[in-house]
Amino acid sequence: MVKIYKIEVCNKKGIPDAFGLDVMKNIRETGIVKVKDVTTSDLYCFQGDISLEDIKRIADDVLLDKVIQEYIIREEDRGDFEDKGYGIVVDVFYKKGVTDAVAETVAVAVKDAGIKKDVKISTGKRYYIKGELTKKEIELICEKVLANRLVQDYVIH
Amino acid sequence: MGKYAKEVEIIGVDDKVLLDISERNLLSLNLDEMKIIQEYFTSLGRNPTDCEIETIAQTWSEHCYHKIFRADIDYTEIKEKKHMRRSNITLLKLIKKATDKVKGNFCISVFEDNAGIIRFNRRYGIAFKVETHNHPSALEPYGGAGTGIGGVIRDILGAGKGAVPILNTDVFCFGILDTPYPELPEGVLHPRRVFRGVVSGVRDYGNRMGIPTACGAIIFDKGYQNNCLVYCGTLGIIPVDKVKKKVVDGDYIVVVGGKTGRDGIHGATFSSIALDKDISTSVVQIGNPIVEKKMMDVLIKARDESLYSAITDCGAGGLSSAVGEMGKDVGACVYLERVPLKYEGLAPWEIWVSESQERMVLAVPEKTLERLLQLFAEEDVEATVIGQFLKTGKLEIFYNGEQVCCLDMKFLHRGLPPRKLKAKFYVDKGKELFRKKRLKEKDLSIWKERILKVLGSYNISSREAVITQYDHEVQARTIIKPLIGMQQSGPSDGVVLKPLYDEWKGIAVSCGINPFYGKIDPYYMAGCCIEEALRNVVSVGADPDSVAILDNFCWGDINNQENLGALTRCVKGCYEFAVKYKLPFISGKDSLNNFFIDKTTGEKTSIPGTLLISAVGIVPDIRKTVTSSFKKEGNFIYICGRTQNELGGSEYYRIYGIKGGKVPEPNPSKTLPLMRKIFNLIKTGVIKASHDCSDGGLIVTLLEMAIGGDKGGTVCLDNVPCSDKSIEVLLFSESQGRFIVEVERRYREKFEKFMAGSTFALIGEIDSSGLLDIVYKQDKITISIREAQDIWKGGLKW
Repeated sequence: MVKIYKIEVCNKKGIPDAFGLDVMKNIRETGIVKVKDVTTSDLYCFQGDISLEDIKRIADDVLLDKVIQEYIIREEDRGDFEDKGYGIVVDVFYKKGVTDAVAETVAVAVKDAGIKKDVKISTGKRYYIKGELTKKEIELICEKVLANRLVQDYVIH
Repeated sequence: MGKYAKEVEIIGVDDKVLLDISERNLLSLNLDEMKIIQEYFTSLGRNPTDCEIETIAQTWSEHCYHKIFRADIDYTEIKEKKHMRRSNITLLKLIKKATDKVKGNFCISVFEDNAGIIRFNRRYGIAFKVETHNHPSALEPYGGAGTGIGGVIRDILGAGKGAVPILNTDVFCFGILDTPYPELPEGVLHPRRVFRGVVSGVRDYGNRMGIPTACGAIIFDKGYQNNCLVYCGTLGIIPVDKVKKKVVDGDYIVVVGGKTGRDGIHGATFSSIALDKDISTSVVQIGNPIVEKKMMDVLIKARDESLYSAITDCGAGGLSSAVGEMGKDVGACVYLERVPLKYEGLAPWEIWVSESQERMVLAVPEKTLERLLQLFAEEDVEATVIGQFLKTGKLEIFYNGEQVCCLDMKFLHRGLPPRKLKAKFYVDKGKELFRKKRLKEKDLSIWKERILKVLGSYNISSREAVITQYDHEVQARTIIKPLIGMQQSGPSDGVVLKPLYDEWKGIAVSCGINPFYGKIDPYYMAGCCIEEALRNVVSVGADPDSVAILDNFCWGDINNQENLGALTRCVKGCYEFAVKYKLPFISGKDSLNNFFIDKTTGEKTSIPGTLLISAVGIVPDIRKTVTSSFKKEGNFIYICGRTQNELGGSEYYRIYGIKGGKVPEPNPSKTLPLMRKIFNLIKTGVIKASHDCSDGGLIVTLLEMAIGGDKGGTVCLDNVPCSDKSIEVLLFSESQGRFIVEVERRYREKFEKFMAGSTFALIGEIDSSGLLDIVYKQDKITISIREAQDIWKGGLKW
């Protein structure tokens, strides 16, 4: 049976998110200075005939840096996310047909980990943005900083 | 027609329909070219397939065929509105003519392969190539720049039977980083985003490939706001017996490395289309360095086992370009259904012209095929036989048994006659000086302020924020690095590598670029770029008589006669100065039509005509090289070469909004002998530090040397050999042919005796005060080196 899982990998509490800080700096440079904080996490989407046990193994053995990171596994159709109290959550994914080099490497790593299942993998980035922003400002952030619409799509939750 | 290929009706149709076909299919072919195709197929008595049309369009694209550089140009030079000089010029021929005049037996392979190859020692050669990846980088900076560097690495892997990459170079031109957002036209990414994306792309690809990125430059100018320039270069080392390659009748065509998808279809023709949200994603490639690294490692193994007879990279134009080029003197038969795909649903022509990254094409003799496939399988790298080179003189392509293309190689590669173009250049335009009256010189504090402003400007300030992101140590060959001095804070003129672990012989690599001179006179821009590249490598210890150069032209809208005229004049400059400095061009590339059309206003903006000269020179012994930082208190500071009033296009003029003026004019007959002397004095240890004097003028050069050495000193401007002793000229003129050198105290006499016959002067002494005192007419300016360092390093922030 074909199932869809989404694994979200992020830094543990208290571990600084350097990438997030960089993104915040870039957002502020566009003139939107009301942004108070940005944290990020990596998204990995798996689609195929694969069990939850296998997905857990992939998360533990392939994707996670156990010292500083933690993960959450979700079934895609629910489309939910953890509300960190940040208000704004944006997902950025590559468009179909665009080379997803990280996904290609994950696919090889999954095979090397001994999980010989045929799964489609795509990767993306999730941004939690803190600040009182208008819808227009959030869209501007997506267009100017987070995503390049030529190769990527974004979803504002 | 068939099941897989569509017929394109061109027989008997009129001009309008022909043009419409070209436009609709993004072929970028003009009416004359479409007519040649029409004629060819009329003579065959059939219409072409989509695959055939695409193959021709790719082979004849500006990117692959260099139509402008092969064109017959009727060039007119206009001086003082009347004095006319007309000549017929073919740009490519002119460049090659320079090389023919000076190459000697130092050049092993020039203008015929993926890269130029020079002799390093009896066993090895050095392959060097610089490419541009401008349009993709403007659209998707990270992916565009990454695939730019990935592409040029493959050029080196495909030079001869494959060179091992040992150095990457990167030169970028961006818009002004603090441009306000509302000033940007629709569809243009902010220069800061482009800057960060491009640097990150080159960093991630180069670092992951395990190749040091240690040489480059960054230029900022408003002219690059809508079209950034990304030059990526790679240098490799190759055994001399692996330089020759030849496809043999019967060799199998093997594609290795990455799989094929819809990446980069029509990449070459995409440039002139404005961006909008519905644009197809198929034009932007994203790189995967891990795939390329694996391919590189196994390819070198296969090379050393002599498993293939020829190799080339799959870059622009994809398989069409690679197989077409390799098979042009033989013939080729390809079965497209065998090409490994990333996903289903590609039409045959899409597979054929896709620019998916990390692929190369090999010609493999039957007797070694099995071993080659086994080797690639062992290393887990894709390798697939997709056809055979056969002495038919034809390019035949099949898909699931159906013939989708059958073209004569001769028509494809020699069927296009040279274009006839007109070009003109106004010699005096741009030279007229526009400025308010000269500042009074009495109050020297004004000049201190000006010095620090120039020092902290975007174009002069330290590139530390970028350089430190690159791995410049990997492979352990880098001897002189991009940042030098005790604190790694000074700038290096060039990078010095030690290619072989068992030999002290080395190479120096550097570049010269200055589009600002070109706005006034492209002829002298060419001279200055050539000289700067040469001066840089000599300054770190290379022999000026064993240097080779590469030319990379990036120009704006070439359909404009004046733009084409400027390009022609620039090429003329390249020819003249290359011959005079005895420097052979070994490889080059042009990227034309870098312009942007604003959708709302319809306004067309071209980039400033930009020439990049990259130089590689032999360093006889890497233990006898010097860096630019001041070394020891008490040593003397000399200036070599004459300073002139040549402030046109200088950093100083531009910061203070002064337009026009006289640009620096190189003087090879004086400079080349001077360079030979500098080389000898570095070799014998008389010169302890050497820095070429260029962008920003004498004062920037001195401050950079002081910052690198964390030392101070006293310099007397009155001693500088100069015809115009105004402080402005002394401090900021960018006259060519100048070096600032540090000479050990006890060698003063030896130095002066050896330098006899050249222009030079003792201008100061190094001390440990941490202050640089600049004496001018009994008055002085004092600059704290720490303060200068903070300003210089603070100019360009990440």
